[in-house]
Amino acid sequence: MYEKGWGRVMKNMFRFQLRRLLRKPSFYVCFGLCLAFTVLVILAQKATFDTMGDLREWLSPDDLQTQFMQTFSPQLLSLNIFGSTMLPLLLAVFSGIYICEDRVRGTIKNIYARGYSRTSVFLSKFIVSTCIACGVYLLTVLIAYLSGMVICATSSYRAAMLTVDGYWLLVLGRMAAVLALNAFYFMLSELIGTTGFSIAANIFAPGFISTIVLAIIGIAALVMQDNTFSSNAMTVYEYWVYNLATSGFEVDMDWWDYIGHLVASVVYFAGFGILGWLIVKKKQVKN
Amino acid sequence: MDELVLQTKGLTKKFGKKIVVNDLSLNIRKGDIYGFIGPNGAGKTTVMKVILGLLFPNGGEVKLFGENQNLKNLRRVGSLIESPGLYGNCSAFENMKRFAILSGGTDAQIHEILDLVGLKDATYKKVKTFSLGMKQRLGIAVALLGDPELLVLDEPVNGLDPMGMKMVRDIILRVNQERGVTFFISSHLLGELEKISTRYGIIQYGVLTEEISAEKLAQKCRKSILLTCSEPEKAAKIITEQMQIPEIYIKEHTLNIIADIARSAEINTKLVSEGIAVSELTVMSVSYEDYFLQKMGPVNV
Repeated sequence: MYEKGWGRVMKNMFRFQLRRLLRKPSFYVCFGLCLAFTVLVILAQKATFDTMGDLREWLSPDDLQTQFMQTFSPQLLSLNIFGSTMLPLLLAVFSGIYICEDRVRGTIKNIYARGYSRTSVFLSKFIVSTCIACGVYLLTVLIAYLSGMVICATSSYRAAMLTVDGYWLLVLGRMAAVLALNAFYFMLSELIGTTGFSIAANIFAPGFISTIVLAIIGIAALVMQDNTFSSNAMTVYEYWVYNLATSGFEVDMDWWDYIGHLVASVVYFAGFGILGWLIVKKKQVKN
Repeated sequence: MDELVLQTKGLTKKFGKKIVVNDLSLNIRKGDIYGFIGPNGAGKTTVMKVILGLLFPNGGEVKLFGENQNLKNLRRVGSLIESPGLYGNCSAFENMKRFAILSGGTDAQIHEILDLVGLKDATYKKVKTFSLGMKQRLGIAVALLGDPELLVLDEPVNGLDPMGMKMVRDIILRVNQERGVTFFISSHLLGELEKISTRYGIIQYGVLTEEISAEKLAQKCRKSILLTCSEPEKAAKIITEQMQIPEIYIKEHTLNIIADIARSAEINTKLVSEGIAVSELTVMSVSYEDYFLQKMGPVNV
């Protein structure tokens, strides 16, 4: 008989999830596209800069530095790549496909009916999904950084080798934001359970929630005619809503801002993770 | 008493306010091929899903191998519920390999099981190219991984052609006889269950109306000759002693003779020659279908 303890159960679940993941063409397509897009964005920026030859002659060196050359700092490139690539979009698509697959195909019946608890299924999926998001984000950053190094190594861009204070902290902060967003996608996909609807909800929900909250704040501020309320509400919005929809970690942000955004990301990650677990735990296999 | 592999006591399941399974108690013994019969919507699949932990019960209990249902004893159960859950883009082998990580089984065992279910030649074909029958057999193969002691199969022959049905039936009988695996099979196709089941449970509107062994059912459904005559005691003695038919039941002037119906004319001739006036002779038979329909009661359409 196939006797197992908790450790063995989790080991089997991880092996199962990884085999499922690594033999999934959509995994390679989604994240291959993401990495390709990273390189494409950088090449497009370089091409734009190259066409500015005339501009370079009559702009002052300072202006040139400020307006164009900063873009080619490896550190800045790797920090800005999150906003300019399709990473959030592709994470949203991939979560919809990967998280819902077992329910859509009915294979979840084979897992639960073989004595695997809902918690072990949730944990294995959530950890694997988090590792993917983390890995792909870091890979994107690395590719952007290396691309920046290659570009800046050429003489015409040498002057643009700018460094950013607290670079690694910003990379870490943005990773926390990516993981919070990924946990949100995970929770939503588990809640919805079908691939198409999950992908659509993952893509539109952050922006939709953000817009609704912003509209409510705006209306409330108009009605109350209270500047303090309006200012406080916008601060809360910035940390707790805007942070989810986009990364709130900006270059030159102050420490309090940084800590606020980091706390919001960690709370979101944990909160959406727990919500996802409760959904998995309570969900029955009706179909 | 035989060892009980699966037992439910007062099992109840509701969806909203609707009671789908009501106070259901069934007993499946080791080595049984238990046919779970009921019309569509009777609650067969729901019962199986509750037993396997896919649905949460609202009341009652499930015992597997003598203990309350838990994750540990569920590992001794294989199942195929509704349509088989498979990865269509992968080969049969890859599907088996994935589930073998969870259920146990080496590559050699995977090949052996695929051979057993007649999918040896399709081992490396993509599942999305499979016919319904092949998918059903692969579903059974997945359920067989890890040497389960109990197999729960929900409508395993549903949608199959006669050849596919026979193939699945043969697999079930072979696994039951060679590996001693107990089966709990639901179906609304009486003819199919008749051919393999050793015990039956009849369900209607979520209520188990009867549990009966195949022998008892055969007894209840066998054909008999009903004969009304002037001297029933004398007639019974003649039939027993001179025609070697021992099983006769007398009720007033009517004899219920359990015998081959081909002998009805012979019995009549004999009694008349002995001076007994036969006023009525009827051949009685209850088919399995009649019996089950009678137990299921009226079905709302």
